[in-house]
Amino acid sequence: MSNAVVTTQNSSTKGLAGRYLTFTLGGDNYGLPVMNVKEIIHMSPITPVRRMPDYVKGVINLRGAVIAVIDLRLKFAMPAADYNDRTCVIVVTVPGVGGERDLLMGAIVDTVEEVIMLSDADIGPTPEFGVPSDTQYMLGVSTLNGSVKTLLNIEKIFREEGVVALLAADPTPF
Amino acid sequence: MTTNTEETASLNFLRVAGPLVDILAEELAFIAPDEDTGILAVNSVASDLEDLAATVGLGPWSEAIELLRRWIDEMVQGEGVFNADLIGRLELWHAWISDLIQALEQNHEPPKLPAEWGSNVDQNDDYSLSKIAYNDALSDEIHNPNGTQGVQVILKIDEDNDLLTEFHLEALDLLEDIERGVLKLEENPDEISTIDTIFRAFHTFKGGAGMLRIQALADVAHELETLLDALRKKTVTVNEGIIDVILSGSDFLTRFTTTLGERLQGDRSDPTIFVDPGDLIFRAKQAYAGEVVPTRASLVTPPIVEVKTSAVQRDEAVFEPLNRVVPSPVREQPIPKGDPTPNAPAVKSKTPRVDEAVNRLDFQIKSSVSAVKVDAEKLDNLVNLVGELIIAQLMVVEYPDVVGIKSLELSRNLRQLSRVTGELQKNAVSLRMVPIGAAFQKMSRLVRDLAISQAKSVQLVLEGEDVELDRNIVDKIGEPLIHLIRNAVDHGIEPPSKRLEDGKPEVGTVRLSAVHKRGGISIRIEDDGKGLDAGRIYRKAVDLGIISQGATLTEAEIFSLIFVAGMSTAATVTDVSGRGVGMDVVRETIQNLRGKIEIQSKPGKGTSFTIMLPLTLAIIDGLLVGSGNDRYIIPTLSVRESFRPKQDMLSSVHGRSEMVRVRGQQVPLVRLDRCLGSETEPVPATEGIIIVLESGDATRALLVDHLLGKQEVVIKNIGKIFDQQPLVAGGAILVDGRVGLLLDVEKIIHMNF
Repeated sequence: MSNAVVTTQNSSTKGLAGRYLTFTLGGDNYGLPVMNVKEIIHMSPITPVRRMPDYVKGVINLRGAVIAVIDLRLKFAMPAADYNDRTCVIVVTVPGVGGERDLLMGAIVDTVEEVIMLSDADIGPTPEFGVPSDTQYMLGVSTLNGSVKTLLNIEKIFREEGVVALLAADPTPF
Repeated sequence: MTTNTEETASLNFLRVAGPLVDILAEELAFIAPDEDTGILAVNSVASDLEDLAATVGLGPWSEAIELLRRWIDEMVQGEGVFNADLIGRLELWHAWISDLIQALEQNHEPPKLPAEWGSNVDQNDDYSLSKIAYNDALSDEIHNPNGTQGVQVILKIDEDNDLLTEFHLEALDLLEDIERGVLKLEENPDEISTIDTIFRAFHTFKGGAGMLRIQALADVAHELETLLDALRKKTVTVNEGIIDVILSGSDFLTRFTTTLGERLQGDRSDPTIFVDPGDLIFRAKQAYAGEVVPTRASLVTPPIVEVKTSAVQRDEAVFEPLNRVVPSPVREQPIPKGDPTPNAPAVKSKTPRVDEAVNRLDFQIKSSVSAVKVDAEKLDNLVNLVGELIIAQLMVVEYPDVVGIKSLELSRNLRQLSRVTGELQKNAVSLRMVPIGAAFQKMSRLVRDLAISQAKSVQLVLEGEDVELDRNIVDKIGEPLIHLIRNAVDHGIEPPSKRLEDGKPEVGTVRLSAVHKRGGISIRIEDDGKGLDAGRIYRKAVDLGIISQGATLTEAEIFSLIFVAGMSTAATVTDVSGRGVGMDVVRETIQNLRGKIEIQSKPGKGTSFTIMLPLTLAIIDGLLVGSGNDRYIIPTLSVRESFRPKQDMLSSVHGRSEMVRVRGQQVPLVRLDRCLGSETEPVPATEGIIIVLESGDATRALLVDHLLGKQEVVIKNIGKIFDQQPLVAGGAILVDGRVGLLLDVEKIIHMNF
């Protein structure tokens, strides 16, 4: 019986202390490093972009800029939920690599809670579940005030590394 | 002076290699590990050096050049970015070739190749370049005129930053004027106004340099000004040697100005620039005296004398006469009347200096009145903001509740608001527009140099230089234009003898023209050369595996093949092009500018490339279409026409591939909803709208549900995440505040499905 949760030692949780924005997805609590959060907005009309992964809902108009929004529930393979007036879009800045500019993207979440301050002591390493594809998005876990929050890795979630699907209709001249 | 082919070859080598090595040096300053900035330029330098090595016998040195080529190829095909090791090697290589060039110019021992570069040839072998036979007497004069010394100009970058920056910007303009003027002068040696323009440019340059107390520069400018003045007064007449001297002078000043620009951007910690005006001044004097030395000056490095420069000191006269570093030529030159004499002692009274200073300031003030220089980033910000203002204004004006308000006054005010913002937008956009002549002008010099180096006779005809384009586009279109012009001269125009044989005029013509067309501009590069050989292109494409044996292609499709990487079909490697790196980059650049390029050619008659570009990068004229519940934007540049098809226009093959008859031709039908992955039951085409898309070689009939209108939209990037969906090229904010998606017409046209 694999009830034992083995803690991983491979990812250090040093240096994760700081401010986190907490939010919920289906009753679970999460946190994002505040320095990556640009703003929080209510849902606005989404223009879908076809033939993208289901968690990429499309693009929205953010004061004249066109930014992509993803549904975090779908990204984590949770069941989709209807959007209501508590649903928010967290606009994050994803650092660019190798001379790229920083990207602005939106993440749809159920509710947004508050900003909390976490120290190194408050943060523990990510438990190793049997689903490694989930844990890659996690920085660690916090147990401040008894409530467990999963701290998320912005770059892993929003950067589509290695997931560039080559469309069957790859254009060739002839 | 003896001229033999060896000497010409070595001079050619020095003349071509010198600037290439300079470029390499510049690029090396920018190159950093894990980046690919500069790879295109370095690759181009390596190619050009390689081509050069092929035409000029270089013995073991060509191995070193090959080595460079190999390193670059490895990098490009491998990681695609530089690493510290490669950078180190490149710097070493650059040091070696700089030494080599210097050694050749001064008749020293050439440097040995580093052993690890593995030359199998004994480096003591004799080969053509080491047998350079400069005429000894002349070479002494050129290289060691009495008393000339190089000068190290030390800039006070921080203190004088504003002055130096202004000088730099102004210098660039003046140098452009000079170069343009000289090329005009070659055509019309008697045109006084041209001579005048060049004279004034050198004069202004002299003033600026004098104000900054960069004596060496002022000296050179003065000599050339004197020469131009003599031309003005007709005491000297224009000839090839004089043109050469003037261009050399301009090149000298350009080199300084470019280096100044680099220092100002803080690229290197070294605030000094080395110049040696001695040769140039000597040649200018020779030219002035009617003795013309037709060879180009070369930089020498004798002992360095440090001369400090400083900004203007107001109580002191700012221009010292030229009693410093002056080579005494072999013969005494007659001193012109009325000019400050170079060999005279310092002028005694203060007044002439002050007058000189006042005249100079006067010139500079006058020439700056008609235009202002604005930081490009500020301009872009302004234009973006205006774009957002337009959207915000539209959203207010079109808001349903607002539209429903029945008030005459409000209607009037809203109309006024729309009108003013529309005007504002036009003005803002036009701020970023520059005449395309700016890019065209550079081509004159290029064609001239290419023609000379290939012993061909080519004239460049420019049309539509006043046509204005967004400056960002003009900047980026330069390289493709250069490449296409090179091709036209290299592969298009035949050698004069062949042309005469074929009954063509000996002088080949390359015509570069720009004209407004349908919401964009059309740039055409045509030559009256030998045209494209469709058969050869086809065969090469088969050899390279780009098309299969026996594939049937229309002529237009065959011509389009030259845009595929690796397809350059030059039979012999010439010294400026021939590698297949260029045309694919040309097409990509144009497509990135949301433009398109088409080819036409007739064997024996000539070739023409037509580039269509939008007026600005950000704003396009778009057709708004609906497909399902989505709205998409198609650039009108790519739309030929639209209509609702009738049943008798439609047909199909195998029950699958649909076609529609457009103006007597069967055009493949593409359903937009299908492209985007919709799997619903197809709606009869007669209930939709056909949008006829065209690009260079192909046409498609795109079937959409609705035609929603035409709108100028500001295109925004949607992010790399959407690279997975190649049919969408960007987004735009529509009138109701929602995002409309821009379709990538090229991708749709070339889709296989």
